Amino acid sequence: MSESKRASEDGDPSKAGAESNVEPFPARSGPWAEGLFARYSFGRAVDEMFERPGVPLPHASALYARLAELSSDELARRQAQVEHAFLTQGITFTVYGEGQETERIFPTDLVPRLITAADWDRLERGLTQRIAALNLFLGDIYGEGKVLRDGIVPADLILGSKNYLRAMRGLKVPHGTYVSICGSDLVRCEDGNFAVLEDNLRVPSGVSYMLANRAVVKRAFPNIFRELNVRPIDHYGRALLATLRAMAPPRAERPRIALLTPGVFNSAYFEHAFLARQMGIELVEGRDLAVHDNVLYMRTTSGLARVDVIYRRIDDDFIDPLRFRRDSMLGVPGIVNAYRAGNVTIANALGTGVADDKAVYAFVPALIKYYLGEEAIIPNVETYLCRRPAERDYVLANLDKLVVKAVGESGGYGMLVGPHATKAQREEFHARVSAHPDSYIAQPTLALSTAPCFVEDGIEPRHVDLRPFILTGRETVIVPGGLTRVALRRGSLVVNSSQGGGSKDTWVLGT
Amino acid sequence: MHYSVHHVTRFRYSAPIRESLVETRLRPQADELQRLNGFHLTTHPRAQLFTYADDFGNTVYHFDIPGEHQELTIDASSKVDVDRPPTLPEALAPDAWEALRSDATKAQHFELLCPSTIAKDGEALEAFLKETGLEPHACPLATVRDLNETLYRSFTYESGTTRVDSPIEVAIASRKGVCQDFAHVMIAILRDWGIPARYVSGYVCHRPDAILDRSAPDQSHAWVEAFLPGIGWVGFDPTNDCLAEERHIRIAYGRDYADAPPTRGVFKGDAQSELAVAVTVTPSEAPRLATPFLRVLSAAKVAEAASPVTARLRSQSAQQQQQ
Amino acid sequence: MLSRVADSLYWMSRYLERTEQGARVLGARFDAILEESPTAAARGWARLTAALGVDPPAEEDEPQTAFARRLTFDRLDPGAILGQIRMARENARQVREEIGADLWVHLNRLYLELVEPETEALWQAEPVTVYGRIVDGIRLVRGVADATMHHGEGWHFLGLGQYLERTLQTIGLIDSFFDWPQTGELGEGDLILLLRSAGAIEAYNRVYTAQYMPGVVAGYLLFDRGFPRSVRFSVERLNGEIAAIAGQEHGRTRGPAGRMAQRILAEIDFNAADSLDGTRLHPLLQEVRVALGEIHAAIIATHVAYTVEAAIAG
Repeated sequence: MSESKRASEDGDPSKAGAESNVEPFPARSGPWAEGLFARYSFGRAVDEMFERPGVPLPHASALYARLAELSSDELARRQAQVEHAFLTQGITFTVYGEGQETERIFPTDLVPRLITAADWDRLERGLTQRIAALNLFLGDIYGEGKVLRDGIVPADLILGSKNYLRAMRGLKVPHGTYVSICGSDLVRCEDGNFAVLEDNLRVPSGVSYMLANRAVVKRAFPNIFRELNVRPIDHYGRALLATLRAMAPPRAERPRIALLTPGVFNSAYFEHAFLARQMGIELVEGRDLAVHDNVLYMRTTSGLARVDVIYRRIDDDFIDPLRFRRDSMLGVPGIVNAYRAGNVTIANALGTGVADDKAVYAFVPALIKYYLGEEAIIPNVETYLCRRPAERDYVLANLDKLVVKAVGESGGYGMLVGPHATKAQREEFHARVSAHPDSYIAQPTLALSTAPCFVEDGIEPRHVDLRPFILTGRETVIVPGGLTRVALRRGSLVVNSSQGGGSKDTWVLGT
Repeated sequence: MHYSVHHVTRFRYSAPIRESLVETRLRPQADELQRLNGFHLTTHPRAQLFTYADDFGNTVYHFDIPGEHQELTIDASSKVDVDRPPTLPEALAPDAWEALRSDATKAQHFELLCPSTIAKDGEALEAFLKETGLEPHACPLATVRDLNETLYRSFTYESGTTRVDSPIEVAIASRKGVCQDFAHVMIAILRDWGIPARYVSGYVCHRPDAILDRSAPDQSHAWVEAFLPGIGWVGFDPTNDCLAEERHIRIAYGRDYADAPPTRGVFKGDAQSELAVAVTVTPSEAPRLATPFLRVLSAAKVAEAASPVTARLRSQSAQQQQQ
Repeated sequence: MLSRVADSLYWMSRYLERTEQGARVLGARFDAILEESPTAAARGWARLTAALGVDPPAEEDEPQTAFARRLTFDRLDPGAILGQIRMARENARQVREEIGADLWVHLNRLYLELVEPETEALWQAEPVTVYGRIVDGIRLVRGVADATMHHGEGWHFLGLGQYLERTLQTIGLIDSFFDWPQTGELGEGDLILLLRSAGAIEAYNRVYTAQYMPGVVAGYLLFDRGFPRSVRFSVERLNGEIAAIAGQEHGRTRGPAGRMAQRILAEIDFNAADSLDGTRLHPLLQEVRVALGEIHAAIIATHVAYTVEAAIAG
């Protein structure tokens, strides 16, 4: 049981913290519609399709009109088609446990989520700005440490983090790019603007679902897809390959790139295999690799072949038993020394996790200002750092309104959702925050925007977020779109796939 | 003082192994008080050597031996000049504690003020402090001196009761241990009191009348450096109840042993390993011993717990987080 | 291709082949059992253990059906049918990308069917049916592989495992009849059982009609160029796979494995020219068996488990 639970949660791209600080809107039925939209309701949250009941946003009117024409049977048929396509293509994750194993699809909703060209333009600029600052920040804290000396970020927050890797100090990475693949989780707040909820700078996953969703959904709505001039995303594999090539050591003229996977028992194995296939690169495990004289090789049937870039999908701790966890069976002994010597590039760099810590997150706007001299284009969600006495006092006084999260931990653990917590839980967190204020942050509860989803026999609003994938080698490329994650269960706030979460295709509209 | 140091490390394996990768921290530091006049490292089987400076400024030599072998010998020779550091004052400036508690000190030595993997505080350490009545004095220097001497008196030197990376609780419980244990206990206490402290690995040249020297003469040694305002890093040797001055040859620094082991390696193969080490530190005038005597430090370890390899691979693979 | 992938393909294929032959031999055994005397049956079971290379019942009085159930359904015994399918499946799981979804689905289904309690219940009543289904299931997997997989290097590693294992199985089968415990008189019934166990009865009858003589039967299983499970046929294919794999590399000769395969072929053809002398049969089989072991070792050493040192030097 525990293994199956882990397997599904760990591999779940929707694991981030988006689920917690949202609150359900009170149901208020829409007066306007019959049929498919009869159950559509509105609340605090902004809706991605409707301006107000019955009135679609201008850019969504064509899709709304098309949906309104369809019967629920027709939609059900198309939804079944989509799911069947996922199964037959093996776009699944495997849940292990009790000697049995089950192939599951990550549920997908066939109604696309639309993003206007103007919104996307802003997101693209904002995400590019953000990743530039984060890369500069990582280069700084593993280099000179100016940002710490200047007191922009408290030194203990960085140097005391378990994700800060001393092994990375003084190690030069190509183009100063530490994070080549970033998945940032965005939410649209009540004011209609996007905000960043979390950055994923280590091994962000879910991009295979973004691509798979597009492949099936555009076939479910071919005409409207063409009519809306949706911007393509299917060049993601090529863009990722170009990014990884750009990260190759200068020595390598025709760099050999391999994707390092923990293996078939990892729940994201499908994505690893999928991406390797898309790029035409080798899918390797630690045991396929060996370091000799500071050079990384893979074992092939025709001998050792030098590897120049590793796109790693395993954790820092496991990557080199000579350097980190000695019991790791997934890594490659000596790879860190080969990396340090510039003979191979590891992407993402090691030690990037220190910058996606929840407490460091709060400093990202300041980092953008510090490194780029710019205001953040996409704001953060308001965050209270309990390490600051005034903010701690505010948090302790408002536990019933806030979401409290432990820092230095992955989403979902050590978290209090104030409005839904029992008195005992709040008291427990009161004690924990008081005892270890440095270990906690708090955020207000958010009303994530909603988007129409096909549920049973009608269309209802569901909370969504957005995870675009930001690629950075020499420069930053973002394919227009991302993974829109959905809390599929009615009233649910959880976009986690093991708890009724799913995803939908994201259509960025052309101009 | 001029010294010649000869440090031989030999691994023997119960069965042939291959693809050994080894990192060594065997090259003495070169700085204003310690000049390195020569360093030579060879391995048998032969290997190409690579080097880098780690994040403590230690010079790491590393290599790999791809073919099958059942024995690996690492032979390091150094020639070092060590100067006596300036004599310490009787006491530090009256504001020394304030200086230690300043943000500047905290920022500069943050990691050497935090508990580390091995040198960390806990109930056993608290009880030890209470029992010995150890507490900070008005002057940090007197504090460290007192601690150094108290540790010397409180512990019996006895090898085999702890391992190099044992948590300090083991030594505290038995009041026995070796240089690493005393260094780790001292580091944990210093940091607890707000004095930055680091682990030093190296060699000590025994006094001819070495009644006070408890450390084994044929092994590498470990002691502590404490950061004292107005002076800088000062070496204390709780094993031998002395300051680390011109008899101590510094090799590597770290938060604790884990950052500065003389050798660390991995290999492929199903075998147990036996480690033997010989160190000779010779004041340069004296003739060098022809053949060093190798002392077995760790006999073959018990095979790892019976977790089947495939099951472990599988569970690690399933547990890799994908964000 | 990654060495690990080649290794998994090779072993997956060997396990599949071993399972198929095991199921056929067990099926033939159960088929014969109804008309046998207890002595003949005891001899038959002993031959079966010799042919499959498994340990005879640990206890003298373990009932034959209990023994057979173990040989069929013990999931953890690599000598048992289910144990072998499990190993094939574990190997396939490691290389799902290489073999494709279709092949995986069919192999997985075969495994899942066998672990269902209904299958064991059916086996209690109709063992021959169950063994027939297993053989069919594996043929289906082979057919799907043939029709869906890219016929590249990975495909050749499948072939390598298949034909190497097949040769070993046929040799073991012949040896178990002609050398058990010493070559006694083989009656017509024994020879028919041998041909059935090799899946050769119909093919043999077409060539020699339904007349069974020891020398002819052994010669057919050894030397026939057209029967797909004969030693001659299998080694010929094996030789082709070795050449194909060596051909993937530029400028390399076929190496020791290829030379060894050709030596076996020459040896077989030399012996086939004469009528088969019973005293020469066992040494010949033994010689081929040893050579196959060397081919396996050479392939693994060249393509899979070479040391980093050897690879650097090479």
